[in-house]
Amino acid sequence: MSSAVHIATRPYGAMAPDVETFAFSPENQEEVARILARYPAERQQSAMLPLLLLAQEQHGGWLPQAAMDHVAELLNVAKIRVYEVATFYDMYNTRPVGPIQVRVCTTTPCWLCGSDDIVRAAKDELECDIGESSPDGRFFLREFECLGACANAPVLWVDQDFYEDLDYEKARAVLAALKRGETPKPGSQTGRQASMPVGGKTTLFETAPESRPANDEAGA
Amino acid sequence: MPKLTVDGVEVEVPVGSTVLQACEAAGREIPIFCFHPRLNIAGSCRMCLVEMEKSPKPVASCAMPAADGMVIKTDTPLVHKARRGVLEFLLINHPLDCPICDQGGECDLQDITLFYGPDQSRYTENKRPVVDKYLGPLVSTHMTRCIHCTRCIRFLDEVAGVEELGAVQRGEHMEITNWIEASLTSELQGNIIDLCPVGALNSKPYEYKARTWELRKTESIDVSDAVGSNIRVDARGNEVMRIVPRLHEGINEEWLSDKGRFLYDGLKKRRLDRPMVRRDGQLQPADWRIALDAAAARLKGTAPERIGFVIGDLVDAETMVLVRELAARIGTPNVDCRQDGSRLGYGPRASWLFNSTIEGIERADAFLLVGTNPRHEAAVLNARIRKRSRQIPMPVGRIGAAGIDLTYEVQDLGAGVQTLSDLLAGGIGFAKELRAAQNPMVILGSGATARADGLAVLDLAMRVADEFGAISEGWNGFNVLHHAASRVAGLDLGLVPGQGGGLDVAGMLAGGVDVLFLIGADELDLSGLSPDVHVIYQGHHGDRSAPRADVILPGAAWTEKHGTYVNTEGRPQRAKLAVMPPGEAREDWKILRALSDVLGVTVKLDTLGAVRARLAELAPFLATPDVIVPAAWERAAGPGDLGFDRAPFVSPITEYYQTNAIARASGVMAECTKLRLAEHSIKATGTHG
Amino acid sequence: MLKWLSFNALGTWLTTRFRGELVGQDELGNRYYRNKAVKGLNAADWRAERRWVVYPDGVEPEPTLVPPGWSGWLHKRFEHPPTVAPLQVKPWEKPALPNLTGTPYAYVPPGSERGRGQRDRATGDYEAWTP
Repeated sequence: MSSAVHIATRPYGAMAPDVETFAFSPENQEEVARILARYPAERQQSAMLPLLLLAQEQHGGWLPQAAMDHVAELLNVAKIRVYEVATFYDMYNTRPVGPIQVRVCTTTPCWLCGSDDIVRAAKDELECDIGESSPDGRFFLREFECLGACANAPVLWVDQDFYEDLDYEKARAVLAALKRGETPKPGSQTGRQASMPVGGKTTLFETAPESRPANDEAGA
Repeated sequence: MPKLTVDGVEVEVPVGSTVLQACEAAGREIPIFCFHPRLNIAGSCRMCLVEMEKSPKPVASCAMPAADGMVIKTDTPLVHKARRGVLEFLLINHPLDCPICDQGGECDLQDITLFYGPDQSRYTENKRPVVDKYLGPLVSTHMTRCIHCTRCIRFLDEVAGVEELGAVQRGEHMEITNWIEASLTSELQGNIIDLCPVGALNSKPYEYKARTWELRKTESIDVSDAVGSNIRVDARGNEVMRIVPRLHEGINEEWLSDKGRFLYDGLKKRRLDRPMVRRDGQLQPADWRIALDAAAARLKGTAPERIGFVIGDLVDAETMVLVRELAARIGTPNVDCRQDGSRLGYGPRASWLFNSTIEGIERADAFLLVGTNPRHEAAVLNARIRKRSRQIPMPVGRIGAAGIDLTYEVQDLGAGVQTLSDLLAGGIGFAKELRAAQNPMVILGSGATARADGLAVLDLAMRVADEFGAISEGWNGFNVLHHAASRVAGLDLGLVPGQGGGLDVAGMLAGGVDVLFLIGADELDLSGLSPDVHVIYQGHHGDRSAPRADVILPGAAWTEKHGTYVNTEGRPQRAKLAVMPPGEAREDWKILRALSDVLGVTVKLDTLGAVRARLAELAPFLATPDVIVPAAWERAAGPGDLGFDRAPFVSPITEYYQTNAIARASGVMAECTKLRLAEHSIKATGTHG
Repeated sequence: MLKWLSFNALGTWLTTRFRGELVGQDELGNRYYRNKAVKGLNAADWRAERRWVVYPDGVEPEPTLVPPGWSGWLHKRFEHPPTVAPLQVKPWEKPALPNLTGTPYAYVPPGSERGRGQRDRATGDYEAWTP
């Protein structure tokens, strides 16, 4: 996700209401122009995914029909084509949901490492079920398929951040902090660095060479 | 030309063919759901799996291009197992409601399961429920039955040109929907009922009315427009239960417009089922003898030149033969088959035909539409133009009748005659595109000819056709698009007021006649008619003209008689009797035959065969059904200086679903009209739907 | 005797004469029999015994003329005849009628000419235009 995207800053308000008409905000209109410029003139409809994402973030986490219609109009495609795309991909919400998206990975590696506990913690803390929004309308809880962070399973994905190496208490603590409007430190919650072995280093004990290869930054 | 082997038979297929087509060429039947020869390939149902040598898995034959040296096997244990497996999966979420399903008996899934499927299911979990969608008053949905072949989506996108259906969600949650609760806006939407291989999309008016095996099937011709689509009338007892299209590559391929498909419920409403005579200012039922006597008495007591005949839009050629004979015997020159006031019918036959034929649309590479809205005047023909516009990039220019989405890209050149003459003079940019075309096509609609300066417009259009190379060896791109099923037969039979000073429709209505004989003519404005004019109405519906009539002679609707209809190409086709006329109504040519007896001017045509023989005499090019006799191109002499009308061309059809007496009687058509009007008003006020 | 035979088969007459035990008679004159005690058959086996009816002379045999109580006894729904255990009649029950076919009281469908003469809508119906 591009950091240039204009996102409402935390703490979010309550769930965004349905709207009759939708238009991109002035800041986002610049972003729309940037996105459209990426594609050749006859392939403008390829911009549908980023535009929908932008619209969803502008509208607080979900896509009202008006927003989808607006995107269809921008790209000059039939409305139903936008509805198809928006419902096909999991990251778009076509019904009102809380603006803070809490996704629990429940695919096999996370599940083996106890994602059931994380689901339970999220349900307890947010007081809602999977696929529902919390009673205060700020959080939306859902299951997600593999997030690609299996080395740090189980994983919780909240908006732009991963919270890793969780158990029941840690997950509750993260969510409770989010509820208070704080931003807990993303990454492993056990203090290990990235996805290094849990018990500390087992190799590479030598000190790193003075100069690092030039392409290291790009490959990160 | 790739050569491949299918089950040991070597076949050669054209480049670009699929393995499925190769199998069919080899005489093998492959079960299919999602594949349709007229639609893009989806490859979503996996029913067409065949075994291919050197392929580790069975391949979907509909999506696999045929290549040289392929060895295909369609009858191996692997193929059988694959088919059984696919069917078992398809049936997992398919309800077992065949006994109440309208598709039962003509269902692809039923047939294919019977031949290739497993005999029982191993699935014990709950089936997937899907909410039914609202698609308007014509198509009903039972979405639990849907197998996601996406034929309906592809048809609306590709053929109808209205992107309104889609598949939302994915995987097990996939649903076919229009997402918003709105009716489809296509004039061809009924075809998705035929395309649906299961009972997910059904005809709403026909829903739960009959089972397919109870129906008596009669091959007939659609009369709701002048395209002459081939249809099959399905009747049970004496009731038309539904109308479905028949295959005719030259006309409708396998599509049918909604009006032709759904107007049949009008056949049961407002019928004229017994003769009526006006007594004491009231129309009262009478018997045939009294009604014919009353009509004859007035006809005899009136000078021949004060008698006028007007022929309606749904009249068959046989009846028109009788009208012609009867008018000639009475001695009246006032006969007109053009109740819309069209000026066509003088000069060469080529000046009122769709000369290039409908199939010829697929050879054209530039279109000029003059005063026509083909989407509403001939929906199926419009789909052909769209098909052509998808094959090659093609300029389409339009003069008049602007503001209507024709489902393909159109350049609006102007509004009226001025634009046409500018084009002739080369003053419009479109002229260059038209001239560059190999086979340009001019389509002249009734909106341009049903005006006082109609002949002058016709002459101008013919000059445009000549000028821009629409007439060449083997190509005649000058086309007149009619919208009334009877019109071409009427013009071919010369049922227009002749040079002898006969009156046309306007002249008759303006007080030129004392007795007005209307044969199914309902599109007339009789309000200005003098109360002294005696009106004899022969027809099947109590529509616009019947209340004004003094004598009513009940005739048969097109499903109730054997009749010849000539479509806009000049192709005679025969509609057959499907049900009997109601009550005392009779076939129209017989009524006129009987009337001629009472008048003492007997027309000696006693059998349908004799009438048709006379038809062949009068118009030899209408003798053989389904054969178009091309009309020789010659430009009529200029009509002299008639002066042009500056008014823009407008399409004669303002309300698609209400263009004839049967459609106006139909409840289904009325509902469609109501919805369409409601949608227009929503758009007009700008509220978000 | 001959008249009797014309309505009842000889076998039935003989069986009734030698085996039958008269159980009772209803108000229409039908007489009800069962076979005299058979060896080895005790009272608990009443469902195994044979029961039959002999219609009165001069009346055409008509099973629907058997009153409900006796009909139940004949068909072994009840152990005891209505003379012993009268039939329990619920307040909502209508009196039993014999078969009315062929009589003026016979059922006619609603659309029949002999009924109310108005038939329901059927296929092929149409709506005529009236001015």
